[in-house]
Amino acid sequence: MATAAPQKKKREEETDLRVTINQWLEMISESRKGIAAADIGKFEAIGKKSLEGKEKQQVAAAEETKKRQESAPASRLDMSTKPGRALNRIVVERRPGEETYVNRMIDLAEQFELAAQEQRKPKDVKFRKFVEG
Amino acid sequence: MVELDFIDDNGKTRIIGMWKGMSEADKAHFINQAALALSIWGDTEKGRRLIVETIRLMAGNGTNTLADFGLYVEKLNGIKEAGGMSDKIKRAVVIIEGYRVKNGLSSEPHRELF
Repeated sequence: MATAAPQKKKREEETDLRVTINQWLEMISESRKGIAAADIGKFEAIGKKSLEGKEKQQVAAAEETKKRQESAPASRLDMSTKPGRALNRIVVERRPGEETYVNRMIDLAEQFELAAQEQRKPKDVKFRKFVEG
Repeated sequence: MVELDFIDDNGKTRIIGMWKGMSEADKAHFINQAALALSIWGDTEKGRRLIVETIRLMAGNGTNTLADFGLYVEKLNGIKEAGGMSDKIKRAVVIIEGYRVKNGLSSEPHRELF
């Protein structure tokens, strides 16, 4: 009997959902009958304009990002000078004003450098594997 | 009745929860968007199945209102049940976008991130 209650509840939920969704579908079907071709045409025209605008915005934003990246003074960090470390032979660039894993990785690397300069063993600084994107 | 075996238990619970938590206005927006989609796809078993598939995609993506329906229609292009409907899905996306703009609905889903 102890397991019967959850199973009963699950069955009730499934019935509940099936009834609910089929009620929605009936409402949707009824609502569809009230849609005039003129309404569809009107929404289609607005939708086209809106989606074209969004597409233009995306293209403009991509171009802007590209321009910014090309003109921004890059803070370069050549990790190839640190043989034997986790980031050996990786060259990364900071992208000012952006929150990227690369920027965070550079921050961590700079902390590491500071710690090394002060001749402290940076036991508490651990590099994690970062995956861009 | 539409069979719902393809929706997992968690999805079913979320769908019921979403509906119960929605305002009457949001419920109307959901019905209207789905009705616009059905008018393009056809009020057939396949058309109805695509409506339920869209709801399933919403439940799986963490959205918390069915009024986001139109924002998920485009995702149908990635599933096999929508095979051969690509042009009709694209048209429904455009029309529902127009409906959402006209009614000042968000262009981003209302999602629970955590």
